[in-house]
Amino acid sequence: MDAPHAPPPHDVGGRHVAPIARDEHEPAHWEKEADAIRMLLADRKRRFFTTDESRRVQEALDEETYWSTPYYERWIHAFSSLLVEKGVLPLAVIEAEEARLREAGEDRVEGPAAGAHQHDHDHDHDHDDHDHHPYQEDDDAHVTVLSPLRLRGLAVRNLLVAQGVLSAEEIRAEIERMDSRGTHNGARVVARAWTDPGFAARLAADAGSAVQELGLSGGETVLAALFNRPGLHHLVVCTLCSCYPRSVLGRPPAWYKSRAYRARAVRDPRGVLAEFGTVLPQGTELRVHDSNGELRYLVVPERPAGTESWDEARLQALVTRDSMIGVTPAREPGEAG
Amino acid sequence: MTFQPGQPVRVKRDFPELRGPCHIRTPHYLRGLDGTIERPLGSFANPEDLAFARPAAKVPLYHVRFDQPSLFNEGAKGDTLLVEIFEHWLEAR
Repeated sequence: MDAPHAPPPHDVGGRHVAPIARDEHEPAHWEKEADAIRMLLADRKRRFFTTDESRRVQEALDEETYWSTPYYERWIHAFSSLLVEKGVLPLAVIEAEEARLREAGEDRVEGPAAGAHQHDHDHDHDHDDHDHHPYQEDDDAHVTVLSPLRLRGLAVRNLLVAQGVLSAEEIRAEIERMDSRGTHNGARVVARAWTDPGFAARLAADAGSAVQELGLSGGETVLAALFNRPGLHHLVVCTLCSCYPRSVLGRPPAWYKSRAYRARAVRDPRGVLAEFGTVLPQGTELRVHDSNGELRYLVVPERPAGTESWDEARLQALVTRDSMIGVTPAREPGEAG
Repeated sequence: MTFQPGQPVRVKRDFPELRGPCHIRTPHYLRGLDGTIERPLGSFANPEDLAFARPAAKVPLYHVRFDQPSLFNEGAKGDTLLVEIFEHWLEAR
């Protein structure tokens, strides 16, 4: 059913067709820092804004700006706008710090990438056309001028630290906290569920409490485990932003946040699975979870056949990040790394 | 709690975006479509108010199940979609 107006840019479910760009990169330092600052500003100590306020600011961008701005630049836009809106940092003060950074040459970073050209946006634009990228490369020195939003992020970081709102140590600790989360944590949860029926039952009933048995955090949201079984396969997407079980799996991969994945997973989920090389057995119900709200979903893939004698530690090697999002099954025993 | 598991519901065909700045967690592609209550999920602060730092009342949230192929008139028979939808976006049918 057609809407009587163009949906806002973030509300992309079913509205975009393109292959899913699956290039992966370890987040650059500036991306990890933006992630950490945004989380710290909204934590229990500071509570400067809610997650929904951060989303609201991003959703107000026009469609082209929303999708051409690298993911973590959108986060910088959101938290810096909210700090201005709430009077924590006057815009004039931020702009003065930006001017100081430019004057001091601190808006220039060595290296061709300098983090500005990240793969968090879709590659449906022409890559030879650098005019659309928010930075300019120096012809001979491989020096990159920070994009306006990265400069803003740097200025806001400096001001927040100078004013004692955040400390450099807190930012570093938050980055390390997120770095420590990842596939290995989820793999422990899944392997325990495969080998301990009592744990699997507790995980099904209340995943947030169950993962604490393994020393993991259930997070501020409600964690839910989705058990694949013969005849039922779960797939997780967030069409509206990038909701992801961060307390267990860490930061989401770039493709999970891409326009193509967010748009297509609800409309053509089997086509999406095929791009990941996954074909479900005949007669399997594919259940897509649009993770748009309070719950965060961790898929528990089926335990591969031929692993009956395997112990928990060995089974963990079969559990991939993608299998816990639902785009692939767990590795087969022969594929264990 | 207004709705019970198994109850047929319809997502309101409403577009608050036309009335001014807002923050809506009910995706456009579901508005006006029919689904079935899977289960209640408890009550949560209304994100439509949280987004503007207004006092946010807790609103019941439900898992609503949809027939996937009927969403866009494509897809595979038997596939489903499960989405969290707040009570004020649902009506009985």
